Amino acid sequence: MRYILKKTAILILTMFLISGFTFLAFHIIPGDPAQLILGTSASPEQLEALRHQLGTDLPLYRQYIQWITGFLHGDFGTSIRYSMPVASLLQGHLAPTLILGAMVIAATLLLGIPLGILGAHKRDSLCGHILSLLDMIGISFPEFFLSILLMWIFGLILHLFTPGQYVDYGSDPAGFFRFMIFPAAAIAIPQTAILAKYVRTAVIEELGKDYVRTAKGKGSTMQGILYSHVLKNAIVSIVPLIGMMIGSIFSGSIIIEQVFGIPGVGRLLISSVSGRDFPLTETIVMYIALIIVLTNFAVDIVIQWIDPRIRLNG
Amino acid sequence: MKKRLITSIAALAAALSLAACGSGNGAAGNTAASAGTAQAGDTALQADTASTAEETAGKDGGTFTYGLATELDNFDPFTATTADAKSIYFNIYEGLVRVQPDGTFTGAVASDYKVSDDAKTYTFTLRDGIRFHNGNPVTTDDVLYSIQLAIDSKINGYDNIDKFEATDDKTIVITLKKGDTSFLADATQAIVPKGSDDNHELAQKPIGTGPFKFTEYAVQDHVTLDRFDDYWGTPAHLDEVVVKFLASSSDYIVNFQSGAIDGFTADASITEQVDKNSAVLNVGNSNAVQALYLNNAKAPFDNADVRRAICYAVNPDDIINLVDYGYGTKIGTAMIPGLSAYYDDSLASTYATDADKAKELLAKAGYPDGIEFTVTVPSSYQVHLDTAQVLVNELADAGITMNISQVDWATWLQNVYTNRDYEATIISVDGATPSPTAFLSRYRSDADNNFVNYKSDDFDAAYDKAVGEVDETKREQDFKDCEKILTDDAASAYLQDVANILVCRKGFSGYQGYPLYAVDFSAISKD
Amino acid sequence: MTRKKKGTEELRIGAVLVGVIVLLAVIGTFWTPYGINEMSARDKLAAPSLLHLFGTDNMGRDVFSRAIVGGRFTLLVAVSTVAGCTAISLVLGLLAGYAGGIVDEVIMRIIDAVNSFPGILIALVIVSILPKGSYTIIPALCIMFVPSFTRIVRTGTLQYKNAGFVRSARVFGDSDLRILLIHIFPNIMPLLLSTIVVGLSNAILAESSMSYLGLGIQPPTPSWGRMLYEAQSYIFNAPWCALAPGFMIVLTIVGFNCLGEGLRKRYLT
Repeated sequence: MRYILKKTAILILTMFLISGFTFLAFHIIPGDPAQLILGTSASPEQLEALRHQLGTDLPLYRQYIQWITGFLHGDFGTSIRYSMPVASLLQGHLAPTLILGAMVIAATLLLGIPLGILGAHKRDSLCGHILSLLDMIGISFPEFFLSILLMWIFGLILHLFTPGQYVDYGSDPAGFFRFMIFPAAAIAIPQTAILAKYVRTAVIEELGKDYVRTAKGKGSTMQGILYSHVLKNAIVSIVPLIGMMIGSIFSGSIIIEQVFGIPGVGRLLISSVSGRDFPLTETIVMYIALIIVLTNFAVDIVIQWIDPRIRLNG
Repeated sequence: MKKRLITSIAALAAALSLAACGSGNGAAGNTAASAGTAQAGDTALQADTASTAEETAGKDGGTFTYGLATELDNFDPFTATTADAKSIYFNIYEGLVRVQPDGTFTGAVASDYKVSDDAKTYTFTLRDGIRFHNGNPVTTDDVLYSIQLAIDSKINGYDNIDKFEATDDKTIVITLKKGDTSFLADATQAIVPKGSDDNHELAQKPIGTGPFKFTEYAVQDHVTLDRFDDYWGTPAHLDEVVVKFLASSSDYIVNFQSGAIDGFTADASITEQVDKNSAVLNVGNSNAVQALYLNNAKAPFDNADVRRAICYAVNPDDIINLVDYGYGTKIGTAMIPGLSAYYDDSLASTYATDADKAKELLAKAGYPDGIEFTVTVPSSYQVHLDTAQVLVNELADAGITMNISQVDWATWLQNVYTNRDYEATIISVDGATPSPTAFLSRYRSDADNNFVNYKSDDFDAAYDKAVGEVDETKREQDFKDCEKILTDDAASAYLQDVANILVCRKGFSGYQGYPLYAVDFSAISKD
Repeated sequence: MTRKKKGTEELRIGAVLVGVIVLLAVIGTFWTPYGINEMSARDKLAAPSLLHLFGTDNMGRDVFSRAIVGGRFTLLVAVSTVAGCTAISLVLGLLAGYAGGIVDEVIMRIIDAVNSFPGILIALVIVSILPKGSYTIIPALCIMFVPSFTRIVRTGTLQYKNAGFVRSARVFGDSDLRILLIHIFPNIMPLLLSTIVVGLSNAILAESSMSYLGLGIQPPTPSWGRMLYEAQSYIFNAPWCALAPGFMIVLTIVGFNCLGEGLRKRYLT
């Protein structure tokens, strides 16, 4: 219990640190949101009037204090660029990103772990060689290149989906999933290959350990050894990887949302930074931070639960 | 009514047609024409008024999905002043007058208008029975509210208003401090319902009198416009227009070929990639001045001979062919060919490409070994980036080394445009209104937006003379004199008015070109 | 019966692939079939032929010439980024995992903070504070990649620091540094190698997205990432513009991957 409390305190501290970083970054980078809204034909008077209206005429530290005070009260502020509450903006953009992420994680786990085990189990057969070849190719395809290829082949040549024509989940769930398969695949293929490779390496390593040899010598079946001991030990090295994957799936999602035209959090983040929309960027960064910090927190706990040998200093 | 003003602006349409035909000289242009390219000029010449186009148009109904690589986030006509925003809300809002395809102005919210001989008093008569999208009739109170809002929002030209009043429930009289023959261009500023924008509500809920009304906005995804059935003029043909936001201009082709969008506007490097069997290309001008802008306050560009050397080293024709498939109009000064009455096309040949001449001038200026500088290019514009890459080659021939540095748009606006902290940049500069002052005023030594830091007493004097002139013929010549000073001083290396091409899926027709960047959805119909 | 040394096949394939690509990059330094900035209005987007092996791009430039020259810059940036990043992460990760306690907590929370920070913001900050230059991209990418690398190293360290062989080494009086280098480091190498390979491919792509913000290689100098990015508009009419740099990236990563696998099999198992 004390451990959890302490961790929570550290979590909050980390979040403050991150919000401070974002503030510093905005302090350093050039750009004026009012000028971005008005463009090049604006007069200085027009700019001044708009800055006042947006509240960006205040020094940035006061904007930060304003934002963080609101944040602590559950008010994320008003987006400068979209002149609407950040909370409602975020709400509209969460679903596509989260569903995309969930699809990728599901596909990665459901394919990556079995393929990895299979690869380890059959490592000296043809099947195993084919699997490791596929693995190697999968890891080597960058998400961006993969998404261009998927769009070109499945969208423009085979017409299996309409690139650019994002279908809203609310209006047509079937069409939504049909569309999302392709962006999900673009992120999931390399991630699955990475996971399968890790699983295979970890399992092979465990299989080479003394206790497996001993068990084999005692006449246990290969299957039995594989499932009872080897997997458990292998998982210890896989869990942190899954934690990290959630991070890369998020950053992958930023690129893929741009390429496929999905109105998700990733695209919102890019446009908030390029629009110098301080309250919106702060909130999204905090949001991503929360997910990453919580995932790592969960990963630490899971590892400790599986393998108490690893003592966490908490 | 001042007839001469109208005729002079009427020449715009002819200029547009010249621009379009004159630029299609390369092989690529011919291919495009044979593949069903409707030149903007042809359309504009056939359509003397907006109504002629409507007679030839097809059936009513249908949805048109238009792709836009810039995300619109603000629909308040008093703050959303970017070119892309204006091109779309052209369909939602109308001013007292509106611009026609041939460049003349016609009554919109006002059914009639009169201009006094000294161009000081403008009298507008409110149109009978005209309604806003919310169903309310337009009253003089609404007009007065909108004018006040335009003054408060510092809209271009409105600072010249001395007083404005409603003399009866149909008549609005605007009196200017100084006579200004181009105030009609400013009177295209939107008329909105009284009280509708007290807290900038229009940014999210636009209400106007245009042929389309705003119905839905999904952030980062699309805006839906529906036909306004109570429109005072000929109602639009389409039931619905969806403006779909794309992440970048590189998405246009995939979206068009996949069928996600039915049309988009882009430069030729992109539009030439569409499958010509499924599309009609309508060529127009972007009505902006693309140049290699040189910071006149920074060495070595504080030396006019160095700037002239750059002008001799560049070859705009090459750029138009290499980057834009031959589409685009070479210019030699800071004026768009679209404003033909004020545009001096002879200036385009002031500096005939000559690398030796450039080297000679550099040596004369004290740089016998050539110069090296950095050009800062906003990375959101592929056409400027491509232009920069061609320029690197051209300048190298004259012993000039140019390095490219990309920056994001916000950084460009801040560092280059506002703080003027750069050596050279490439951009297309547009005008707030279709008037010569919109393009030339920034070269006055004391102008806030004189981002090239150009300083010339001759120009200042010539400009003041032109602005003060009420006689139209003299005024035209005065502005041409200003342009000549800019060209002779090589204020910057002017390149071209980049062609803007509207791609329309076959099955949709009725494209209307305008002397400003606007997409007129009311003219488009589904066959 | 002679047993083939482990990992020979992988090493052979990897060496050939990486060798060919490095060789092309070296040749590109001295000679290319066409100038990389040689433009032609007549030969825009020409299909691959004997004249232009990989076709031409939107300004009539030879894609093959650009691809081999682009390889030099791309590889230089990717390899130095990953090398720098690995070095930093080894220090941070081993320290965090082995020392534990407050050191671990501080390092990992900073890592979390950096990890949640959008790459575009990191790039914009770097470009504002560091002097301009083609290689300022390397520190920027390093900052972006250090979190995931560090986490891998730390997890491995945690896993092995209480393992039997480490404990016995401690009993025999080995110093902490010796334990880290001799006993723990080799064990985390397999995991780290895969991360390095994926990191290379990420660095190649990230370079192109950063160059838009003024970091990294600026046009007209080609890089694979940029070539791929700009080819998006032409995928329908001229797929070779995207396929050439795309598959160069894939082959390079496959090559490095094979090398890594082979080395691991031969020396670490």
